[in-house]
Amino acid sequence: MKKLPFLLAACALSVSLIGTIQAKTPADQLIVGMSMNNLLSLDPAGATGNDVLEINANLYDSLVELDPNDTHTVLPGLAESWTITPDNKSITFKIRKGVKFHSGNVLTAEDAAWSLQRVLKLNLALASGWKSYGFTAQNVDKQIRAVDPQTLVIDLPEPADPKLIIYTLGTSVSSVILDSKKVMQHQKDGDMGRAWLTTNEAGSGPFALNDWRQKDVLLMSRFDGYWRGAPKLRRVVLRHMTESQTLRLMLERGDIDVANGMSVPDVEAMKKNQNVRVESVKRGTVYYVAVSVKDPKFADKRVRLAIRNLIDYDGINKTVMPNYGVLHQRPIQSGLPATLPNPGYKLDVPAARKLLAEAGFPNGFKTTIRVLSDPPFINIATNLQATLALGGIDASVIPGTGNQVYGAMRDRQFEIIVGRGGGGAEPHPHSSLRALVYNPDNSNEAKLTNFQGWRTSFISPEINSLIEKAVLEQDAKKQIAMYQDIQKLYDEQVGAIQPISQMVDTVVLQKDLRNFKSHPASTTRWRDVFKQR
Amino acid sequence: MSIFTSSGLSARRLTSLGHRLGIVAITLLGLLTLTFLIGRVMPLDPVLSIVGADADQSTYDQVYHQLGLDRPMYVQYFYYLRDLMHGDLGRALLSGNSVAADIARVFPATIELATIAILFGTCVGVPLGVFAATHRGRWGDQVVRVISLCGYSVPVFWFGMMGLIIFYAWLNWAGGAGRIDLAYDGLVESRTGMLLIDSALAGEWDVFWSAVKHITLPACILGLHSMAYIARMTRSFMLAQLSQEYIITARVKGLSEREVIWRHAFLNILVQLLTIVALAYGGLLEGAVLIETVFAWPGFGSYLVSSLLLGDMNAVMGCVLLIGIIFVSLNLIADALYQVFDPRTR
Amino acid sequence: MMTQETMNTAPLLEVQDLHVRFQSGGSLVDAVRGVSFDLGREKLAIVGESGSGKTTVLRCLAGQYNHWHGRLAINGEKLGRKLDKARCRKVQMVFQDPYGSLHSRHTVETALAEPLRIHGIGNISQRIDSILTKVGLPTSFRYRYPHQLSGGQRQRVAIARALILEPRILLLDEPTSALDVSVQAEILNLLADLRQKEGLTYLLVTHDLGVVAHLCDRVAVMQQGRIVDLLDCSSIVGAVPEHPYTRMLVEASRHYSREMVDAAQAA
Repeated sequence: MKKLPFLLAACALSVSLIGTIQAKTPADQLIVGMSMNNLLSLDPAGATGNDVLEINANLYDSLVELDPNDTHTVLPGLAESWTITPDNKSITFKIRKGVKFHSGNVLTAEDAAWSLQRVLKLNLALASGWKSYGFTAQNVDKQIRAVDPQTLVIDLPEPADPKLIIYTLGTSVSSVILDSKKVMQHQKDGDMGRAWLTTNEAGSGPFALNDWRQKDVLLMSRFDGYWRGAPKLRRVVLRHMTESQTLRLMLERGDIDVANGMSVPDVEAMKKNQNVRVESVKRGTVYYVAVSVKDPKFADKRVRLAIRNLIDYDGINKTVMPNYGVLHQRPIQSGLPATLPNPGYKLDVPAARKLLAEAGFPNGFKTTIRVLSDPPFINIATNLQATLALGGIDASVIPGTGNQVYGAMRDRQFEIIVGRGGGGAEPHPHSSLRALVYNPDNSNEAKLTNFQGWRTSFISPEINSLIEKAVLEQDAKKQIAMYQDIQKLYDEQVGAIQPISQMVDTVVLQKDLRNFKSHPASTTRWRDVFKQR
Repeated sequence: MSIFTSSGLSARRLTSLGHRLGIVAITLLGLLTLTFLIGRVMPLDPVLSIVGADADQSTYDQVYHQLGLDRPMYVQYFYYLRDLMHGDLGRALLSGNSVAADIARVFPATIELATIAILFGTCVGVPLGVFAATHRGRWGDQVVRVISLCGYSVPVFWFGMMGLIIFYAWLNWAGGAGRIDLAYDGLVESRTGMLLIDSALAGEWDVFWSAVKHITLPACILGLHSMAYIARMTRSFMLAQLSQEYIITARVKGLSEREVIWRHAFLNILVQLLTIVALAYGGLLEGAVLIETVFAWPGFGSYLVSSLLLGDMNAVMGCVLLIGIIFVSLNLIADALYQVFDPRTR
Repeated sequence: MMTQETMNTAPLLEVQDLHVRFQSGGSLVDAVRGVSFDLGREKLAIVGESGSGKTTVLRCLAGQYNHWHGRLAINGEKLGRKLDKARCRKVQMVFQDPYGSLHSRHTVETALAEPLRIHGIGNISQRIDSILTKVGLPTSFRYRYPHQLSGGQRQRVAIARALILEPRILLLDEPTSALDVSVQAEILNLLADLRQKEGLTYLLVTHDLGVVAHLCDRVAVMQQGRIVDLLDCSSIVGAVPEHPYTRMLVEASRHYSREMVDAAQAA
């Protein structure tokens, strides 16, 4: 018994000693904790999701890059320089000399042309954007070609704003340049290396892939022959971690450097931690409430307006959205010169009730809200459910996976959806409008499933033609004015997709990390990152 | 036992073995068919998982065709079974990886975790159960009951978080999330896929200790539920034995109480207990999604659930088949144990 | 052994003012309240219906309970509460259910060898053969498991198991009640033979007066934890007992046990 106090003291002492030790990740390694659930393929032609963007931005190089501090500034990448013909119909890229792939092969304009052609020929997930510019598997060999090893020419198949294409080259995962010889060595059944590239890379980027065990760990190491000079980090490790609290503990203990996808309470808690930094970056996509105009109720503009009046924008953005998004109500992403200030939509129950009564629904109606079961979607939906009820609308929430929710939307089988979208990686109004509003053919048979405008069955010929004209307008001022007209029209006509919040992405970093700059287009590059210790 | 009767017995056993294998085959086929049907009926579209929500229709249609989803369901099923007959579990729809290779990659992590968990559960649960039975109604019994109740009712997720906070973040005894410290990742050649065995085989003791530090906490927490279950079952099995007259006989013979409990009573519950443990082990091998999530353990449970959520039915079917085989084999093993250990079935 | 007994004037078995109290649920139950009797070289039966405390008395003697009060003595030596090895060699017990009292995973040989090993007695194999012969079983039965034996055979093994330590006193807890009527007789005859040959003292517990008549000299009748009547066996066969409870027992059992006793006498 005499020993007991002594033992207790010893325990307390050892605990307090241990408690103060903070493990450190190795100085020359970057350890990232993130969910890899949606990381299915690394193939630039077929990879979806934001996670792969960041990975491929470091395994590969693209022709141009967007400045993470100001995405309107296009910086040279593999292309030293580029020129746009005065008629806006062709872009010529001067490809940098002396760039080598990880394989040792020399990178040429042929590789660049081949990589971009491949996207259209395979016609996988990432082909959609290119097809919307008029490129097809048939015309791409003609439209995108290498004139000589140092010169790449892209001829626009349809009139468009060439800036938009340059932005796509700087933001899309499909725009990275592949080592065509290496890939073709791994071709199987004419798949242009598709099977092989799912889990391998053939890039020229600052890091080379060592090993990727799906939903476990992805390891890459420094490419010493990188043309910008070898990166400071020797190794980058991405580890699959889905549980936010685990991420937080690992971060607190110093076992990871970067945490992606932490929950809001954990992010808030980490803001108080002296050893870490919380960084948020706005993305081009928006959170929205969409209705299906195919449904007779929502075909009535007054009902859509009533719904617009039954969303608690302030409440949602204050209680649900911190670290996920910021208030935004326009179909064009915030921060662009063309973006109008928010129109100031507010929760207005009496107005909504009046509109519903006029539309013949004095007692409201029953409807459903389809929504992803993850935060913040589900939280937005329950908030919406409550405010709709104030207007007499009895909405039941149907949660599902992204796959189920957007699948129903693509099939036009929904009434209300709380979702996220809007393309928006390219800092250009057209990118948002094309994704959310544009609907050139409203027939079911058209199956323009990539256009969220078509999915909602909302069609406005005036807006459509304005969108088509604006993207061709060469005078910047006039173009801005046209985009502002579109936003006003969208407000008047009460579009089917009502944005509520501009997406924000939050990462938590160790304080000693330098030059880690989260990119609005998810192409965060680690080549200059190092640890200051 | 004469030779004749024993050979007669083994002939009988042979037919019963054939009979049993037939039942096994039918069970597995039924399981697969059901899974296949559910998979096709479920509103989970693997094509969307592959092409993303914003792909256009021609891309969608092309991938739909490439996956063979445009064929009639019975044709798809027929091809699946045909490939299965050739030992081919097919390719995961999303990653294009061979399902067999995927499972071979994730399953060892789960085996490792589940094995240590069940060892923990058994080594702690059995003595606790015996103790509770021999101290029936006294405070020791109550303590064991409370421990079992906790093991049963406290969510494993909560235990996991608490374990991490106390033993990893605070005391620094455990190794945190993942199977191994990242610095050691990839150092040891994978032979069995089980890090403890691989590192021991390679003689990499630093790696081995890192793996031990990482596996102990999740395995113990995972084993808590089994421990509670095993303790409870052991207690009731033991009570049933201790009330029987042969126990009194044993005491009257002059055996010490310890010998009475372990040599007589415990011997009699051994087979029942083994069955319980085997089935609990089977449950653990299915994977423990929550523990795997909390500890970022790249195991079978996470693989199955994420495949399911993405609509990757080829992967799901492979997993279901494996689970079916595990349970059927464990049942067969448990039956075999009865045969071996219980003289009455000879 | 004989000399010791003649020198010692104390009775072989002595039970004085035995009290046993059980906790059942929340309440206390007095199972045995002040039972006293002596036992010399004779056969005493304790009869009574279930719950009368007769088995409890037996189990106290066998060392299965250690919360009794009173005095138990063998040859004048006071018995402790705890069962010790010496006592095991003096007192052995045969249970009611030969199915439950033999370990199902032990062969006859294991079951018989174990007590010998515990008590450090040699010649195990020989002793097993001899005891099996004594209880009327072929020696080849030593390799059998209980489930390979009939009920009567099992009870013979149980008796062999009890006798292998050569005790003076054999406690019999309803040794035939779990058996078929025809087999009961065999076992009763065996017990009677053994008593004569081995010079054993029996304390038999039963609810069956027929068995008593066949095997015992004296009968103690128990009711609600007390001995309410103590009489000679001869007085319950034919005569009408005085105590009303005894009378009732006799009446109840007469019909049932008649045929069995007849069978036993015929055998």
